[in-house]
Amino acid sequence: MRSSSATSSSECADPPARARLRVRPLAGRLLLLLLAFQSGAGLADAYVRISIGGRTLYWDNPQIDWQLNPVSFTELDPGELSAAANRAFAAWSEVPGSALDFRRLQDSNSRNDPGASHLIYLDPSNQSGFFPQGSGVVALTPITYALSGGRIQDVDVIFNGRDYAFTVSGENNAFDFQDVLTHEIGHMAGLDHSPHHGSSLWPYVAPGQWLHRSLSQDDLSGAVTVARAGNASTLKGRIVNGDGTAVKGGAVAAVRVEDGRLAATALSGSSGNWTIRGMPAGDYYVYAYPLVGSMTRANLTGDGAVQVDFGATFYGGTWAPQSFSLSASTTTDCGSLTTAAATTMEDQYRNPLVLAQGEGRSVTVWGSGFQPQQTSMSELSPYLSLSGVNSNSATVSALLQVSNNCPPGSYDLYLTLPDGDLEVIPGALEVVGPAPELTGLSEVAGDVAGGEDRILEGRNLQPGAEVLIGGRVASGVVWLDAGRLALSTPPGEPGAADVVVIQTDGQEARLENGFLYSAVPIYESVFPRAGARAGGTALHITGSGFAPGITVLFGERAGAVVVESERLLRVTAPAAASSGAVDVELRNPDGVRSLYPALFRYVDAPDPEIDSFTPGKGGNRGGTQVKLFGENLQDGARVKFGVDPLTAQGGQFASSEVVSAQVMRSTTPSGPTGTYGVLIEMPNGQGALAQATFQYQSSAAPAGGGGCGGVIGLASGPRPGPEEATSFLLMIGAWFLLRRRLPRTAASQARFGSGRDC
Amino acid sequence: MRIPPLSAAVVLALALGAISRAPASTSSLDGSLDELVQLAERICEVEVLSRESLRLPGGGIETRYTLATILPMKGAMSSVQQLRIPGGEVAGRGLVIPGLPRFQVGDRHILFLSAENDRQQRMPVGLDDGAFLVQTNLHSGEREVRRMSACCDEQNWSGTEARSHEVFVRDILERVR
Repeated sequence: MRSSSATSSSECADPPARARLRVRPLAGRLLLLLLAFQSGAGLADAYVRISIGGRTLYWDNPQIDWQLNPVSFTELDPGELSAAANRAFAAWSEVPGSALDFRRLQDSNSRNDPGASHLIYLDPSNQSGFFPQGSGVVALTPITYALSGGRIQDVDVIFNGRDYAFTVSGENNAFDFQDVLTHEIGHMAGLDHSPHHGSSLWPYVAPGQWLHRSLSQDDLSGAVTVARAGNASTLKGRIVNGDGTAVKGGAVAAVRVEDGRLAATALSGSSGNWTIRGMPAGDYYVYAYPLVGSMTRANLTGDGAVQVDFGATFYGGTWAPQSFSLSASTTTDCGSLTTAAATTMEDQYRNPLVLAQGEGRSVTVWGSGFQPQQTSMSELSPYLSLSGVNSNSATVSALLQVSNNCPPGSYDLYLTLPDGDLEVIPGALEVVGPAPELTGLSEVAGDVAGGEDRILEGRNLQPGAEVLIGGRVASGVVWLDAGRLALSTPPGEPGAADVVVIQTDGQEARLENGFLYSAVPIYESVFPRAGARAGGTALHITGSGFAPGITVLFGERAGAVVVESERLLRVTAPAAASSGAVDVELRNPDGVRSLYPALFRYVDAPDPEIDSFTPGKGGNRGGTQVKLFGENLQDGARVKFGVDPLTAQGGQFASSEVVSAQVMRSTTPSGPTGTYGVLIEMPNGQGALAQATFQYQSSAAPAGGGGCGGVIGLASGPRPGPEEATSFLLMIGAWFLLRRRLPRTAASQARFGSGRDC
Repeated sequence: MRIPPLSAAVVLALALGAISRAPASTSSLDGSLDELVQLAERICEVEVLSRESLRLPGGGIETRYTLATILPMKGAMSSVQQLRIPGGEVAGRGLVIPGLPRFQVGDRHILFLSAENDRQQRMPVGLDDGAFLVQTNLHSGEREVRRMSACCDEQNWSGTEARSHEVFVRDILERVR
């Protein structure tokens, strides 16, 4: 084995501890390949600030406003979309030691408003021009900056809705909105792509991926660097080539000694110096590596030089990495590290492998330059174990076991040759806690007003988890234990609602229709209040709390119900065995009901009908004589104008006269300008709402005539003249002929569908 | 900027009816190249003759590259073509899109370009995934191709991603046909 050329620094605060990089013996068999790593595209760097032409982009105020355009995401539930956006921004706003503070402004419908601040929107048709066909880009973040200094002036986040689908409900065939947005917010903050697979700023994303919803330590360090709040701990050092010259643009990574998690990464500058700010106190292994593989310089926006002709090298060497202690609010200088020569090994690892605590899986790294049965795979964590390592010229594989108590986070994989050549895959593994599961709420129903305490039960629930019910965030969520969360229900709409828990590591679980928003169905008005015993009476019931699937019972029999809204029902009354008053019961699907005694009365008489009336408009001072035509009109019937055509409520009764069972005359009362319904009501409570509407016009306009709320175009006026009467009679005759020849509905449509030409 | 793995992009594009052919492979370079070739409307080897950034009427900024077409491989193009890409610096203001490559005058590239949008702009497929630098290996004298990554500093020429220009072009042309 070749000795490492790493040197330790005498400037480090504490004597360096040493540990051995664990190397597993090669196995004689090829393990099942569970991973196929794609090659070709590039990979790898650290948290990096966007720097162009020597200008590092920055915000002059870490309080950054943002707006969501929810309308553009037409396919996504608005509530869940909004909550996902909040979570994504919260991840970056709540970084300890960072002053970044993203503040949400009122939603905007804009897609390209120069005055709008920092919009998040979906571009469904490439209006932005950023997504021509074949672009292969899921989302991007154009950043406008001042050339003098690099101050960021404007940032928007645009999702490619033309080529890709997004989800806020965990669908595997779409891109996770929160995952993608979390990445783009990193750019908003001024961070470039990261070479760390587990970083939210890793440049690649796959459908169904949620891993980057949560920030890695690398992202956290970047957030601290962009906008530091108070004193943060810092690691620094220098990397040089074998000839003593500086390594420019070499990547440097720090790994926690305690658990082997990758903590942060950085790039060296032109003098070979590197700095990682915002680090938690603790002990760290540190290594340098060239930016090659899936992420490369091309993934960086900055234009600094990146040197790649050196080999990955630990401070302390491959077989005995040196650790450095970092105290709170201090700087530890790790000194100079002389890097090894470039290795022949090249991995094509692209996306991190997500593993659950306690999980064991086969891992295969594809690449080139491997030596059959000589290349080994190892890690630095006491919580991981590799066995059965096998290699050929193109793959290295092993069985990886994650311990049950392995801390969630990113872990490296290391490939080594017997001569000490080292190939590092930073953040190759992402260990997550066990996936959450939901079993149910302590009470599955609750009031639409919300504010009711419930216990959400399940498994593997984590502190800090967020709960959404019906797309709205539950308040007062308190973690009781891994099986229970206490919460207060948010307001909701009547009916079933999904319950979703979202853990801090981004994992989520959904309980479809897990909660039922109950509302007591309250009756406020009904028209008509009586109907034919034969059934078929069309009723309009207004009130509140009407849930989809509500049942309306007339005595023992259910009517046919159309739920127009939570406040309006259209009901067709069933037939009754006998005449007389019946109780009406409103029963929501969850069983919540209300009973109204003797609310409706069955009568023996057939229901009245209004087929038409004329004229269809008149002055708002009233006085227009209107003739109505229908069926089953009874003496004492009254006509009401100015009625709400949806609910049959409101309006005023007019003076009316029943000419025959088919004809009524009425003089309109005064009414507000506008278009309203017209109804008739019999003395016994039966009634009917006309399909046509009556238009009240301003009194300045000529009243009467020309309108066609009904069907037959009689001129308005107190009395028709002889010619008009003749015309009227001819048309009545034609109307009766039509009634006989056409089915009733068709006849009705033929009459009322003619618009202004009566 | 987030980029889907190209295989995923192709699958999605297929699902959305954006292209009519399934990806042939998902393994290593060949798979990626298949997908690049499928998604690109125009593939060409070019030399950058000039670069100019302009502020557009709507306030945006684009950079216009004048390219000498050395080897057209897919799509119709003239011997000198203009490539318009969003971003650039002009009149005291800059526009940058993280992940979008920029080209230097005098450099030679193999580009996989998207279709043109209504502003006559094209994007490299997958942004930096669709731009390769062509250079001559100072040691062997052979022309080599590498992603924009290892390219930028001639002193650091011996990056690990170089591949034969001849083989790379041949692989592209085989897929185009």
